[in-house]
Amino acid sequence: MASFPSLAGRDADYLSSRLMQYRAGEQVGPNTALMASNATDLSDEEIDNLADYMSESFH
Amino acid sequence: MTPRITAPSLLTIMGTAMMVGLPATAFASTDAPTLDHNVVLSDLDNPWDMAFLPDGTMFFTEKCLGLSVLLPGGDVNKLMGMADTEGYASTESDLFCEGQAGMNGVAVDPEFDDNRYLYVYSASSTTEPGTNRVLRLVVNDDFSGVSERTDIVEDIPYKPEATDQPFGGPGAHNGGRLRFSPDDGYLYVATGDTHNAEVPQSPTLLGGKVLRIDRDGNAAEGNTPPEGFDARIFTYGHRNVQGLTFHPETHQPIAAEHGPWHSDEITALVAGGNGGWDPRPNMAGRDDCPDGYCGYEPHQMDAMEPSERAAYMPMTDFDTYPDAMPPAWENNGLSQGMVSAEFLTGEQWGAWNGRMVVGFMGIGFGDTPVGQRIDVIDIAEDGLSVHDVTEMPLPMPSARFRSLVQAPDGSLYAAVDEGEIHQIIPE
Repeated sequence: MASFPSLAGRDADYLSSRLMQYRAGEQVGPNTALMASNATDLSDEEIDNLADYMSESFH
Repeated sequence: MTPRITAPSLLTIMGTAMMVGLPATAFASTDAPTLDHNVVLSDLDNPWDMAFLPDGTMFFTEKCLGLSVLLPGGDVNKLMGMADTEGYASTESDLFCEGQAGMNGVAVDPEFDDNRYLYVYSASSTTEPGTNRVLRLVVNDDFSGVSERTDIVEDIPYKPEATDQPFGGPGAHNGGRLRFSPDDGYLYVATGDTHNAEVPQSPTLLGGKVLRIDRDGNAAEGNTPPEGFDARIFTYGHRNVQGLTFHPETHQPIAAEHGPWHSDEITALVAGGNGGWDPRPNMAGRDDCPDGYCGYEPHQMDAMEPSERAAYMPMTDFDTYPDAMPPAWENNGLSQGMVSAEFLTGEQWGAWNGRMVVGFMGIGFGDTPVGQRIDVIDIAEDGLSVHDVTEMPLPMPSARFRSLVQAPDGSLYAAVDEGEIHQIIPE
């Protein structure tokens, strides 16, 4: 596995659910600390926008 | 060639979004060169390091695939694959990747014309648990394959199991850079502490060290570690060194090292020196720590002011080790994944001739900006201080800058985790 999982090919539902897990403080993987600190203050709308942007931009 | 848009990490996107609106903190020197760039190779899988021959032939590693060579005519030959790879002239079934570990650094022997020796740093499953090894290979005459693998170092620690740490998966803090000194001709090997608190100050475990060896893996003459230490140890007390370079005039060895949520460090290395990293619990004012490793403490999973954390768990602990090697620069107290170091040389670089460049992969923890960039550093000849640090105005998008190597034609090559090797050309 890579040190950081790729975003390519991930759909918006997957990405938004991961961001919500990070925001909720759940342990997802070995890099959770890094993601959680960035996701803490995201709103639902921001998560949706980020997930849409990433799923449409990277293939 | 038009650069492809590649998928950055989620963190990059978020970090970039969060930095919008902040004032620019870096500026280009007025007499800096104008930069252009080419994408030399794309669609690679975590390219990790490059090494050149004088004619421009470029050996390169991919962390989970293996060793290849780009010939001056543009052809790529896949030389030696790791386990479960296809398309390579040969494969080595013990070489594996996991987390930060895999096939890392590559170096060309100074007498390559005569001996055809090439060296790579790779994780190997030959033993249980696995270790990192330095492999010496012989490149055949037409650059179509390698042979006569000789493991000149077999016992560099590898982290086999996940622990309760940030980035706590297997393979963490794996070091991996290989460079020959232009002065003494020895091979320098940068290693990491493997999230094991005992490793950096250990006299026998080779993690958290810079080794200095000859082409057979024997200790270099002039290594002067403390009594009882493995004679291959040049410096010790490191956290995770992934940058190694030598001052172009003084040949002073200089390391770039990842910091722990704070304080990426550039340090001039001296034989027998202690980097001052010691993440053991129940010492230096610390109590027990998660899984016995204090390296990200206190409150390792939570953001806090980097200077507060540095006071509790210093990158260079001068209180415990007053003679520790002092860093020349600490990235303004931040940890942003400082990973590679190289000197720019030649008139083509204008005001940057003789400056050091360091690559940052970017880590945006807490209020720390992600910081993916290349910095151009005016470092003193003795490597003990810096006169100026300027962010390079990139001729392409920022990325996880894993390796920086100046090519024989005087341009700078940059390998990025996103899968490309770029050429940055001064004009």
